[in-house]
Amino acid sequence: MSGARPARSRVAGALLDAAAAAAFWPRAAGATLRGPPLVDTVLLTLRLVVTSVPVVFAVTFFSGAMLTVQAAASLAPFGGGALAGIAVGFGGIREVFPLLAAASVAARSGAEIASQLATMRVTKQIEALEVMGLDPLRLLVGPRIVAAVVGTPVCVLVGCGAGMLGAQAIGAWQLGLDRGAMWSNLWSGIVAADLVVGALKGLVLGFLLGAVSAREGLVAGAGARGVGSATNRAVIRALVVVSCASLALSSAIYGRLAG
Amino acid sequence: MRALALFGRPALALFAGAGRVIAFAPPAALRALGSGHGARAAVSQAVSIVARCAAPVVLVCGPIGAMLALQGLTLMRTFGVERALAPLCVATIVRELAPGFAAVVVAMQGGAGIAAELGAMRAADELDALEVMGIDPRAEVAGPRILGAAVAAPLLNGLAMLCGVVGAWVMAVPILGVPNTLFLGTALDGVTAADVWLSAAKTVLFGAALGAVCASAGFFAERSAAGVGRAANRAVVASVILVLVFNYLCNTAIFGLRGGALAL
Amino acid sequence: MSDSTIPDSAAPEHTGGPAVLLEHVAKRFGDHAAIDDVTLAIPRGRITALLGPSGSGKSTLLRLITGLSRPDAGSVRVLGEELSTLPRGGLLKLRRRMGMLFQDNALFQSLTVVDNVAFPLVRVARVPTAEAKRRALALLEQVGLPGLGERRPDELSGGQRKRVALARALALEPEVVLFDEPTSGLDPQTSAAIDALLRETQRRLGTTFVVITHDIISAAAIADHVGLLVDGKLRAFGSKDEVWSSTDPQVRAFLDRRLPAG
Repeated sequence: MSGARPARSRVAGALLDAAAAAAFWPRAAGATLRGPPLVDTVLLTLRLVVTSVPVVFAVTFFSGAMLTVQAAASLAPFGGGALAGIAVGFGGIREVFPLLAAASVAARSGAEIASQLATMRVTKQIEALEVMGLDPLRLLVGPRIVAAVVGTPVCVLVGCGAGMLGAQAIGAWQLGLDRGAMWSNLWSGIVAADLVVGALKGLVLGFLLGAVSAREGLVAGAGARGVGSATNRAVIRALVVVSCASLALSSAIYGRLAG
Repeated sequence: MRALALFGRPALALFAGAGRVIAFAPPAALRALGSGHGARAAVSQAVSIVARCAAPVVLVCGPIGAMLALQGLTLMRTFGVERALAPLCVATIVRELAPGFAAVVVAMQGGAGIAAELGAMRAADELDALEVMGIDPRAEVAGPRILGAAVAAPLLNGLAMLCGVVGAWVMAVPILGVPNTLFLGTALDGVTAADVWLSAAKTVLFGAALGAVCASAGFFAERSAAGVGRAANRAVVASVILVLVFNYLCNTAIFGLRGGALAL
Repeated sequence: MSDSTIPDSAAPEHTGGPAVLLEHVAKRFGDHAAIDDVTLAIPRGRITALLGPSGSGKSTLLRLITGLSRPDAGSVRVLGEELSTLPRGGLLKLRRRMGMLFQDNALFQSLTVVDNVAFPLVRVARVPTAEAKRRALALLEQVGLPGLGERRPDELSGGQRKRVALARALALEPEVVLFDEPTSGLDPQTSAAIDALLRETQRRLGTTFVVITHDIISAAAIADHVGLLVDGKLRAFGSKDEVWSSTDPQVRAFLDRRLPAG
């Protein structure tokens, strides 16, 4: 009995906080539309792409490899190697690689956005801007949102390519499948529209992960502890939002086709 | 030469970082394990990591199971092997997606938390305060967290399996109209008890590895607010990559270099 | 540095030699010499203030004395033990005879005030928890914080946090207590109250206090002995009166700029 009340109020608190976090999204979008400073925006976009691409590449390459080993083993009764290539290409491009690419951007650049904004909050730089009559949302959040919205689709496409390369590398070298057949199996289930859908998903996921990370940075608590926990919260919340949004988008786009 | 500098420096940093983790984490964990207090602290760390990660695991692995069922069914209907859906989903979830994503969630929530907490303790001189009292901060604060992550990861893996399978069922049966009896009747065809144990063993390894990476990132953080943020960020990225590389290596070890089952 | 900067009064006044003895200690960070050939004997049972402007190497000196960092050259002896030849276990044991107040207190944020003070008793001295708590409450009373034991460190004022840190540093009845800028970030009134507490506590316990500070007013209020550190070099060391009446131009430059006129 004694534990019920705190647990319930914790759940209520978490829901309220989630609502407050979601309420930030339109504000972030508004700040972005007010015209972020050009030079910062370009530099931050470049930085996001340059720092995230290696992480995205490593993560998706090894997931492609992992999925291939796994699919080859479990699909063996249904036709083995050929079906494994088709399944990895199909599931990878449509779901796994875009999701993992967005998760990697969240881990690398979303966390960085949160940690930078939290540091500015903790060292009173954001108050300093406000006192000067400047709008921190337009100046600081806007460029980062643009960077995430532009950079994440790029990372998604890189992730799709890297995942396929990982699958091909493992299929050809480690599993000893025919190289040409493996590569064409990987792509056989995929149409150009799937890559367009992946990039569009990247746009939405990029906005969400940018907005989630920026919000956690802006509401950071005091001191080094505050910066650390803001970074922590940003990365896990971005992962949750990205996973759920990815499912929602997939169901909306592909659900009708499957049914 | 320039290319060497471009790739050489990150590679050197990677080796230096790996060397530091290897020199730091195992003694810290062993010393914590050796003291009664450290072992008790490890249990309470594990409980706290499980508590903090449970909700994110549900929210991440449920949708992933559902996505797997959605795309799997699209593919299977094309090939007319709808009955392969449930075994494929369950096997993929138990062997790969649950341990992989449970570890990613533990890295992003628990691991980043470890790095942030130790970083903040470093910045506030709390680690030095322990030293000055004559207490070894590695065994006192780092070791229990590494052990805690290693214990929490397999527990969360179990939760992730459950959520993934439930997510797949929800997408397949009520939404996409796969017969319930077909799904449930074939669900366990693709997995054996050994798969579950191997999956659990993998996550113990992932948990220990990411705990080690995150604890040393926090322990050696720069003494400033920005430094703590950077440490948490670095810890997350390094542990996510580490988990995926380990996962691939484990699969290769388990299924054999040439794909084992393919030989059939 | 000539020996004349180390007056005879720095010689041990109690049996057992100086509490802290530095000989030709140097510590570099890259090209910058943070501590440059410092020789210094800190007497037992007194309050010694090491004064200097920020960046003069004071904090580095404190880290060398606690063994948190190692000197590049020279020897550091604390309570008769040479730190550089001490194995890690011996260093940890020696530190149990020392207490330290960090500049930002370094209280454990995850523990309540009373648990912070009881922590070294429970974890180092292996005192049973109930007994440790009782002694921690008594210590908190001695530093003027009755009834605040169940609060968290971040619910206290700066002066109160400093008092908790003092109680924690005193918990193991150390032979030497080191203070890193005990009055920094405090308003003048709170600073004066902390100075009075340090003075009173030291007189009551007879422990050796080593205080690193840039606050001349605070040093004047508490110190028996004063050292002046400028750019990593020890410019003066002696009894407070000797240093205060020094005619060395660099010493005068530092003191006259900061001591209020009159």
